[in-house]
Amino acid sequence: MARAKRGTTIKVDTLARVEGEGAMRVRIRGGRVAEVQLRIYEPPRFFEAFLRGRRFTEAPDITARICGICPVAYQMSAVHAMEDACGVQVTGPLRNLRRLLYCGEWIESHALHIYLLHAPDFLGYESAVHMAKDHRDLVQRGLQLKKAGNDLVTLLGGREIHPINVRVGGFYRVPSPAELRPVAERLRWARDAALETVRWTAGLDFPDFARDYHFVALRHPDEYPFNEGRLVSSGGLDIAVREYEAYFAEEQVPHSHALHSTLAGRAYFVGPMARYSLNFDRLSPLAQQAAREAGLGPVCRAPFQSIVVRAVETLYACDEALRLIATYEMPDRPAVEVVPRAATGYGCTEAPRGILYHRYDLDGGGLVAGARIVPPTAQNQKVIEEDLREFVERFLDLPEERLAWQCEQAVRNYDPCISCATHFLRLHVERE
Amino acid sequence: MSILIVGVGNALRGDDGAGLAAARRVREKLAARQGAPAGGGGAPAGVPCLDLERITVLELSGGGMSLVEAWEGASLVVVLDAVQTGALPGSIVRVDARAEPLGSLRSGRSSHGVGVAEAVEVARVLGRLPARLIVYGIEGKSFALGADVTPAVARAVEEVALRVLDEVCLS
Repeated sequence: MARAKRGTTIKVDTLARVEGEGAMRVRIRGGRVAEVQLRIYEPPRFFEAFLRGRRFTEAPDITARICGICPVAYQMSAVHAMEDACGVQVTGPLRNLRRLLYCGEWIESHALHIYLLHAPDFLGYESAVHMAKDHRDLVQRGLQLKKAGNDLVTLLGGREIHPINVRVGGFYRVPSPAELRPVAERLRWARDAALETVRWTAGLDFPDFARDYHFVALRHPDEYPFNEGRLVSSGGLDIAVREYEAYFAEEQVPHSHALHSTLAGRAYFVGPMARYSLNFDRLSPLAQQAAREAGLGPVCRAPFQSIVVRAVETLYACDEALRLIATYEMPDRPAVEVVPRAATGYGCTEAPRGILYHRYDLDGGGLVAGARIVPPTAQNQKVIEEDLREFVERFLDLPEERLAWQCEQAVRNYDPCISCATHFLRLHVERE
Repeated sequence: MSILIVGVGNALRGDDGAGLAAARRVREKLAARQGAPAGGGGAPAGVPCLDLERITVLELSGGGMSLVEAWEGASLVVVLDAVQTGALPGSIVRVDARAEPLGSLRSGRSSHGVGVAEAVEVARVLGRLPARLIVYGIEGKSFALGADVTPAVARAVEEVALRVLDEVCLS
């Protein structure tokens, strides 16, 4: 870490622990934050163009390549959008299997973030490698938990590179109850481990920082949301997924190729904390109880506590997966038939990092004429910048090094996916 | 004892797909040898030391930690990945990761939440490295989405595939 007297620039390479690459700059002038620039995520325009002219059945596999950590989310939004366009609704055991697959991805993604990316921030380690030296058992537990999710995704998704078993209309192959049994065995261990994770994260030190966010998430009449629901917000929004583009806007910002998403001209917040705060009553009793014991209310506005919320969601995903496996009946056929038609389809599902919106225009032959994809990190960029601005102003008196450390941690509160950016993430704090 | 050959990267990001391509070439070469008439009983013609039953070839594009999950139970693991070290595109670097850390290698710009190098080091600390771990890095040049594979990198892919076959044969 370099220091200089005036025009201080601090570079912190450990921000590479946010998935992929990116850059962040905070400029301080006269004790005020003059500027915050976050350059972490470029919208997936390449993929939108790549999809044009492709068959509607190819979208799940193509969009799965946008993110190596959450391919299932891209597949799910894609299949729902395509089925919406074609007037098909997948129900019953096939729908439940999709939910089960999504449980696997949440467990995998959340466990990775909690234990290997975010925990080192809280415990004062530069990286997971450093942390593992002192907290071997903790890291082992995190990896084992992640593996329980991975087992589910592998069984249902059949992935080698990406989950290749998902298709428009359902799956290529569905598991037998016997195949699910050993997975359930590991999930029972994982549920206990997730409960331990909630308790452990609840005991971490959190900076005293909360904001009045505008939360946006899906909400379903009976379920904690994965695949379906209406788009609701803490500001009273309640719309169908197909109305998304009428309410949410993307604006170009000068310092970045990135677009900033806004709702009624304001930043909004997507991801675990938004889902949790808008759907606490839909969590399983076990997850609700664990959250209460961890000191969380039904609404959480403290972003550094997002690690606890992620742990609660991991617990829920294990619990829900076990429920789905216990009630599983093998469907008669692995997929329903989907006949393409000229139409526009809309899909929005809850990726581990928040709502992921897809829209496709199909021609009569089932070719994609247009595509629009809005990932969760693209939507959170504006609110992350606002967090940084307020955080730095409030904690300006902290030693430089500590402030930089906590700024990184503040970005990681969002588990941002920055795989589309083109620079390794570096933090610059400049004081004038 | 089993052998795992695993390519990592993102095939849509130009040279970042080098590791995946190399793994695919290894698989094709193994399959071709398996199909050779003189190879009776699955043993490849001319390479009697290869027991194909115990070799698995994987292509991964998740985070580095999925690598650690994938190699559980394998005693020899060969990882193939694109790297950026500033060397000439297509340069090949081979690291015996049991003997030295991977700190000097920076993996390609794929969406690895935890990079390959960091995952290997975490596994080392936790005592979860396979008995033998060899990493082949192929120096890439263009990592942009939709970029073409650099010709020198394509040649290196072929070269690495051959060297990997030798490697597992001599194990």
